[in-house]
Amino acid sequence: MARILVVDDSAVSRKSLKEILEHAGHEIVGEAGDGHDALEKYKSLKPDLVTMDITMPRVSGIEGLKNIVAADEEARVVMISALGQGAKILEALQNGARHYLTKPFEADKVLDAVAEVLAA
Amino acid sequence: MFSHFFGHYLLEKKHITADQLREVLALQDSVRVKIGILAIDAGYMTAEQVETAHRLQATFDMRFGEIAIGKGYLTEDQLTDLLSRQSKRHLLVSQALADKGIMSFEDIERVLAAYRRDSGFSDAEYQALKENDLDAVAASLARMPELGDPEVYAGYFALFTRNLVRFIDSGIAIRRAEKVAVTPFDHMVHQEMDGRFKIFTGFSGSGPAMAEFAARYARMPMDGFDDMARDALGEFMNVQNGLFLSKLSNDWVELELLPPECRSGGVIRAVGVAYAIPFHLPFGEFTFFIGLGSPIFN
Repeated sequence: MARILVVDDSAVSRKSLKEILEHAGHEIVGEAGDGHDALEKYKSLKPDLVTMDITMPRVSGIEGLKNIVAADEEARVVMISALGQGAKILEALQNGARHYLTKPFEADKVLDAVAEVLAA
Repeated sequence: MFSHFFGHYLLEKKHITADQLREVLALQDSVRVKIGILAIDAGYMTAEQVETAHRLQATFDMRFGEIAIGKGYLTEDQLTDLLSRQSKRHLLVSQALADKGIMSFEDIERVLAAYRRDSGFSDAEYQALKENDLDAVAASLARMPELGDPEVYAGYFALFTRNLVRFIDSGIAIRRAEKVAVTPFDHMVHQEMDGRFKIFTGFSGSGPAMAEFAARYARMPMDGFDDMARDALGEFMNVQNGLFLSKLSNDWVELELLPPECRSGGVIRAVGVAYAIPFHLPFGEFTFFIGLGSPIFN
C-alpha cells in the first residue's frame, strides 16, 4: 500500500479521492490546494505517489507537476482532469506525469491507475 | 417532467398552494417509474445490469437506453416497449389532482388548455413535453439565435438539463431563454472556457437553494453556502463543461477550462451576447447563464 499526496483545490474532490484510496488501504499522507503547496508538501512528506488536479487557481497542476519532477525526476504523479482537456493531459504526460484520470471519479479506474503507476 | 412544468404553472397562477403541489408531486412520484425499474419489472435486465448502466451514465453523456443497448442488456424492441410504458406519465399529475380532490376534471381540462396557450409551446414542443423528451424541450426553450450555432449552444443547455436530472433532481421546470445585459444575483457559480473562442456559463440562486444543490451533487450535507458548497458547485461545473468540451473536441475544437468561481451578492454584466434561462427545481429557483467573452461583475 502506498503513501499518497492528494493535490486539488476542491475539498469535495479531495474527500472523494481520499475515500476511494483509503478504502483500498492506501495512506493519504497529505493534501494540498495548489501547485506551490504541492511542491512544499512533496519535499517534506516524500510520498510514493501524487494525484494532481490540472485546473487549479494560482499555481496550476501542470506547473506543480513540472516543479515536482524538477525536484525529483523519479516522482510518480497521476494527473486529474475534467473530460475534454486532451491538450492539457498531453502536456502533462510530456512533462513527466505517469498517468491521468478524469472526473467524476470511478473507484475502479482510480485504483487501477494507482496500481499501474506503483508497479512500473 | 410535464408534471413539474404544469405544476409550477398551477402554483404561479394560484390554482393550487405550494403545499398542494408538494402533495400532488409526492403522490405522482410514488407511482413514477424509471426505465431501469421498468426493465427489471419486465425481466429484460438484472438489477446488476441496471446499476452498471446508471454508473456509466455518470461518466458518459448517454441515455440509459443507449447504454443498455450498447452493453447488450436490451434490444431495440425491448427499449421501445419500455418507453411506451413510460409515455403516459404526463397523465399522473392530473390524476393526482383529481384523486386528492384539489381540482375537478372540468377544472383540470380548462387549466390544461390555458397552460397550453400561456406556455406558447408549439404542437411539437407540447408533444415532446408530454413524452418526457427533455432533450427536445430543453433545446427548444434554449433558442439563443445571437450566440451562434444552435447545435452548440442549445446543445450545451440540453446537456446541462441532463446533468441536473442525473445528479440533482428530475423535477425540473424551465422557462424560455432571454437575452440579458445586466442581471443581479444572490449567489452564482460560473466558469469560462477559452481558446479559439471564449464563452462563460454558470447559474445563480439563493443561498439555501445553492447549498442544497451542492449537497445533492456532493452527496454530503452542507452547512449553508460555505466553502464546501462552493467547491461542490465548482465540481459540478467542471463535470458539465468537461462533458461539453469532450463533445466539442470531437469536432477538433479544443478549449481550455478555467477554474470555476463562486460570487455572492452582485450584478453580472455581459460584455458580448448573453442569455439567461430561469429554471425551477423542487428546492428553489435558479437562473442559468451563458454568454460570449468574459462577464464583468460589480
